[in-house]
Amino acid sequence: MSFEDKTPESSKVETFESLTRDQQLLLYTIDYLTKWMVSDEHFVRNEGDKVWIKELPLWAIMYYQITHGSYETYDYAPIPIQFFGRSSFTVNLSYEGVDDVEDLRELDVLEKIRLSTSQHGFVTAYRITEIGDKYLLKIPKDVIDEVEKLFFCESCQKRMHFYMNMGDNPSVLMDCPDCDESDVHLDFLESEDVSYVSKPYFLKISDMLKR
Amino acid sequence: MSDDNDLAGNIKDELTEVIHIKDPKIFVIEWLPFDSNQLRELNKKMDIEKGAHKTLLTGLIDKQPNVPIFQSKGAHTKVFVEDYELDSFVNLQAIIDLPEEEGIAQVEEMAIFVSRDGFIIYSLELAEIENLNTYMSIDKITRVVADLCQDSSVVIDSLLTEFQRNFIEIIFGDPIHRPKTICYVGDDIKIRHEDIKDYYDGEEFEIELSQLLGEGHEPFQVGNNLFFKGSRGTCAIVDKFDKETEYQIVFWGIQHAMNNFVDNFMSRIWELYDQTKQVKKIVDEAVAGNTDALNTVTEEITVITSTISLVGQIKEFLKDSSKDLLEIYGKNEKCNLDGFYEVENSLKSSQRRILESEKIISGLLTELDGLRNYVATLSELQMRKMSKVMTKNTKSMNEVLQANTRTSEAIDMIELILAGSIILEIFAFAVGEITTEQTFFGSILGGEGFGKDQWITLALLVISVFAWITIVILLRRSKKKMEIEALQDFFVTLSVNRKIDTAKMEEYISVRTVQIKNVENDKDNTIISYVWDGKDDPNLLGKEIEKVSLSYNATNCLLLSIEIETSVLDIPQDELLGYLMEDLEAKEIFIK
Repeated sequence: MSFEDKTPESSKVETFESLTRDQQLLLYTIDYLTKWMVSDEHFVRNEGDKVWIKELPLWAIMYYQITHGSYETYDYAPIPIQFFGRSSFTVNLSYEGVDDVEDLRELDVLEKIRLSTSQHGFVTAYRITEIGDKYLLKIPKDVIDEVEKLFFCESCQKRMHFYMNMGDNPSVLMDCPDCDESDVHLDFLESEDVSYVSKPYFLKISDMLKR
Repeated sequence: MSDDNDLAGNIKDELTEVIHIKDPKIFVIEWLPFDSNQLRELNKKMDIEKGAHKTLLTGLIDKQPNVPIFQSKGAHTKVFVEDYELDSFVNLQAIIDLPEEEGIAQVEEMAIFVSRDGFIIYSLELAEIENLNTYMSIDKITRVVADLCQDSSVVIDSLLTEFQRNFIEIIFGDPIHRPKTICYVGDDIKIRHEDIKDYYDGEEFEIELSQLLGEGHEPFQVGNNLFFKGSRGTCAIVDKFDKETEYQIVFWGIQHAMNNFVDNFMSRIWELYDQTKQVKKIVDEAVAGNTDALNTVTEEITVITSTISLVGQIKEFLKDSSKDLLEIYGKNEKCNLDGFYEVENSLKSSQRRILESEKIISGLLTELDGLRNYVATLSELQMRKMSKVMTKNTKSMNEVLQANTRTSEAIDMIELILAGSIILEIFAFAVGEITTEQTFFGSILGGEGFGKDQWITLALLVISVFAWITIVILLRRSKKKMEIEALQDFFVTLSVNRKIDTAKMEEYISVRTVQIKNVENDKDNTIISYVWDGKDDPNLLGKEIEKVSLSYNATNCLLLSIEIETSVLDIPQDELLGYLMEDLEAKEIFIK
């Protein structure tokens, strides 16, 4: 099997203006997350090193933004994913967002990296490229405000930080470094229920499944 | 259930729904280690042999076997047996009654097919989602499936053996959240494209299909019938869902579920490989002389070896099942979907992966065996080293003891000489130096006779010998007293194990000067221990007892032990214990 770059050449020369508002918002969100979402006391930034945002927190933030009406066209659905190659959890994932991440990659605005985990799964992470940095300069103020408004503490207006607990009871939350009571629990891992009625379907082929 | 108010949801966002499928059927498929014995056990749990038609299922365990009644919270799953062969398969109908959030109404009924080959198929038809009862949106269906995946784990968990639950825990960690394969079948699709490739628009349609099936899905069209398969499942839109189509779709689901299990199984093996590598590092530390590392590593090796043994057992289940599934798939006729679903190739691929895992498992076991032997040799060397040091120490101790004995004998001699010197000094001080021309015996032998001087000399000699003996005795006594004072107090312990009245015991202790009280709680017992001052004990006044310790089990009212501490060595043990025991008897603390 051979792999080839199926990206049409024409799309690679698209300009910032060709990005949808949701794509601009996503791009600025990724930039914001790599710069501000982890406090320096929890993360040592070495000069010259590239900072990447891992896929799972990006999805969690995307979900948080969708539930706050930030995106115009994104919705989400409960999708089973495996954490670190073990338990399968349902996360509220936006495939429109996932698709836009791919579109931004095709435009060379984002780049992607794959990391191994100690449990033999893989983790994907993203960062903005130099082309992306140029695009960032053109992001309109209303988009920047839309992103930033969700990441500042309502009480003291300090930047909130982001935490993931990937233990037995995984959870994702943001908290304010100064106010103890302003934690925001992102219910990214709690699937929503719908009411439904189902009836059993008995296989027509049960005889064919026997030895 | 058709009341509009009944069928609500709690979705926080407005959904963009483009794909709606008609009268969806859902197949949730997983593979778990099963064989005839496990299936027979499951069937027994269902009370099949008694011909019972309906059983309430629960994962609860009877923790009070001696109590004739049993309480439960009320929410259970009802299971009906539709069809079975004791050690081949069982076909069930389940009505799931699990608590849901307020405002959510779910009537969840499904069929469950469990095969001895390990595949479990939970199948159902969706009759209604939030008041929609013909065309249902994919966005809503995925929410139903999220619920089904979790509920199906809960239902089957109550039917599995502890043996199987162990396997699940090893492979997935969490018994409820494990990956399953989903197959969707609809009679029609609301927005129909003539060419299936038109659903691959790079936008809404394609995104919704990815949401349903996972990324990298591919299409196949046979006339009006549309088929998609992806990394999480497959979806088919068919005019007529006949046996051949069902067979292809369900069998694709079975092989996919098995491959899912093999993926997780292999991840677990690689984890064990990493853990073994870690063990090697600890062994290196042990070689460098870290004895703590030596203790840790033995335990680690045991745990990893035991897990690998279980993984090896799972491999055997997988091996048998993949062989049997290939056989079953091969004997039935295929339809034109065979080329698209490639079930046989996938099953062969699973089989190859399982066989290849054998090499890694046996390699790991050999490596761990080698490490265990190496650690045993290291432990032996360590023991020898310790034994040498012990022998050396014992030798030194013996030398010290011998030196002590010699010193003690020398001290005894010095004692005698010292006593003699003291008495001579006393005499010299009392009577001055006696000087005669002839010695005592010389004057007698010289014929001077036994006169006054001789009498005086004899008397002085007798007195001095007597005084000498007295001083020796006094010196011995004072030495012994010093030795006793240098020794620690003397302890007498009695294991009692008699029933007591704990209230009376607490009352008894309340008038003592308690120095330490200690309460230890474990799963079944509460042990209370006291230490009080013996000199302040009204019952022990003048008895030379320093401290009294006592402990009793408050749960079963049993006095466990007493301990008396004294500095006087010559009180008999029975007497010491008797002071307290007689008092406890007298106060009627013991229950007869």
